[in-house]
Amino acid sequence: MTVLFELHNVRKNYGDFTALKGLTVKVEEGKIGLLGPNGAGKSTMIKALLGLLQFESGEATVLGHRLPEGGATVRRMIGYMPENDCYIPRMSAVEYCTYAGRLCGMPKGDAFQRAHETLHYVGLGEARYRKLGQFSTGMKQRVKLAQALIHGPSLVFLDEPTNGLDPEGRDQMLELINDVARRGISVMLSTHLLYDVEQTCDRALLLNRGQIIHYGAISDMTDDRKNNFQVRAKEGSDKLAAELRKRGATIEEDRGAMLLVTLPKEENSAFIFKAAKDCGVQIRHMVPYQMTLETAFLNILNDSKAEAPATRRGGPVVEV
Amino acid sequence: MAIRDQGYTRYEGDLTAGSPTWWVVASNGFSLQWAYVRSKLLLFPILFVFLLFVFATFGERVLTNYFMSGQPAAQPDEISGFYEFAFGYVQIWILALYFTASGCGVIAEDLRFKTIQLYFSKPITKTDYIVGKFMSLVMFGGLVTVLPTILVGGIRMMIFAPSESFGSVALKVGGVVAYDIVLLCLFSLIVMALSALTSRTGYVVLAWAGFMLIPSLVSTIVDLVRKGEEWPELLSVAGTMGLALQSLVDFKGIPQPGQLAPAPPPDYMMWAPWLIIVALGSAAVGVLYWRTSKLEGIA
Repeated sequence: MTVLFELHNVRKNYGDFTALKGLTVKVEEGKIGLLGPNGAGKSTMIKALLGLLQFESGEATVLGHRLPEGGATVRRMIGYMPENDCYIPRMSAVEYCTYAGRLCGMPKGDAFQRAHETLHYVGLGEARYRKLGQFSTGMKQRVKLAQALIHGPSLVFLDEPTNGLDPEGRDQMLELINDVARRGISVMLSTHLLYDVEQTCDRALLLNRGQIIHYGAISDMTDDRKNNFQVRAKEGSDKLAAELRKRGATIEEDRGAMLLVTLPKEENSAFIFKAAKDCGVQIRHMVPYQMTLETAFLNILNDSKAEAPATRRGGPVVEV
Repeated sequence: MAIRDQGYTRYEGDLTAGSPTWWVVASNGFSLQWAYVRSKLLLFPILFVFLLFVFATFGERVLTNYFMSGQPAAQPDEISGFYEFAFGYVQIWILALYFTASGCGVIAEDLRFKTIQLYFSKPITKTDYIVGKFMSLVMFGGLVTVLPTILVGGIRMMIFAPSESFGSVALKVGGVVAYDIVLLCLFSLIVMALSALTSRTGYVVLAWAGFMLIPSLVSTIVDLVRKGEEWPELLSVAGTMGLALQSLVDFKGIPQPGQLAPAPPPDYMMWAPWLIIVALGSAAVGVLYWRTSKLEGIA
């Protein structure tokens, strides 16, 4: 797999504040979600990957080009969709995309032709001659995506692409992002919305306080509890919990009478039924426990906070 | 139209075959300024002013022929340069007005609409951006300075072509073109510097208008108090540019009442305007440098 970017002990300070605390990670092509709470360093990391920052220390390579000296080359190969609006309202969508293409080095004729094609692709074919100031929020998001795609980048950074969209517009945007990835363009999606990452990405990179706290496949993050079940008994939950504990299961109370049961290895759901039968408790509800990305994210975040005193002083956190 | 029903494929063309980035910024900036209706509307009264100068050339030539009929042809040194001085001096205020109407948002709009983020996520350097914006203003301002000078000056040279004054006229027209270039560069730099300081175009307009008008007012008041002295001219941008223009078109000035020829100006009046022009230009470049140095990682 092609390596999209590789960071080695990248550190960035803004005055006394350390925004990136020695990031070390190697990310391959694909669909990557960049997650983290406010102030985690997501935007700084994107700026760093665009070659716009001078690091205090460390080395960075993006698409095979070292930063910051290869910054211009990297930006030519990358598309960036900023979070906030960044357009002159008097420009039409075609003018805007043509301009973006020409700034990337496309000849004027090519840029003009590609602007039309890209705007059709994102669903703005009918509106391409309208002034951007007249666009709805959803249309603005799409035109920002179009300007990021016009020059055929290998990698696109999408910063909060579904911000301000209604549910239908959001689904369309996520569908579009998935389609972009299917066309061989790697996607790095920076967002607060974990649902968006679940719908589009196959891997997630979690940042907190300028440190990478996790990088890996989303399925690995959510599937590590596939031997778990949510169980509710008609009555006698305590009795059932005690019986299951006695047989080697781990029990967590989840919202009142609901039990979250982790079975011993090699066991299956019959283990719970057998225990219930033996202690005379009737089971009313039992489903495999599907951990959401949100839960996984919060767990990892909490774990990192617990470990924080050991790692806060900097240095590489995650070696992938 | 449904999303992605157009058989979209990635662009595989050469990304180094396009125009230089500064030129892309310049041409787009020019288009945006020209797109204002007021930019086009304002050209009509401005062109009318220049048309008056064309008529004045005809009038000057007719009168010269009338008074000189039967006498030897006018000598080259009889062209005083007043015409070129007046033409160039009017351009100061025309350019100031044109920039007030449409040029003040050159960088402020990028800050306000955050398009500056778009620029710097592309393979563009700060130098490309600044040079591009500067050239956009120069091209835009050239519509009311260099272009009319070439047109009106060309007509004037054609009218004077049969006379022995042609060489003198051509030199003075060339002087006005050189002056236009200095004027354009200086005003473009100052407008850019003011525009880089705020995201509100209205504030830039106020600052630019104040920069032009207040020193001119002060200069006029001081000039009235200190009658006969020339240094108050240096207090205003218009006065300074006027003095620079005088030296470029070799205009000695208008004689005072009771004098046959204008009094020669003091020596410092020859170099002081140029020093002020260089100082103002350098200050503007300094402001732009300071502002762009704060643009690290703006994406």
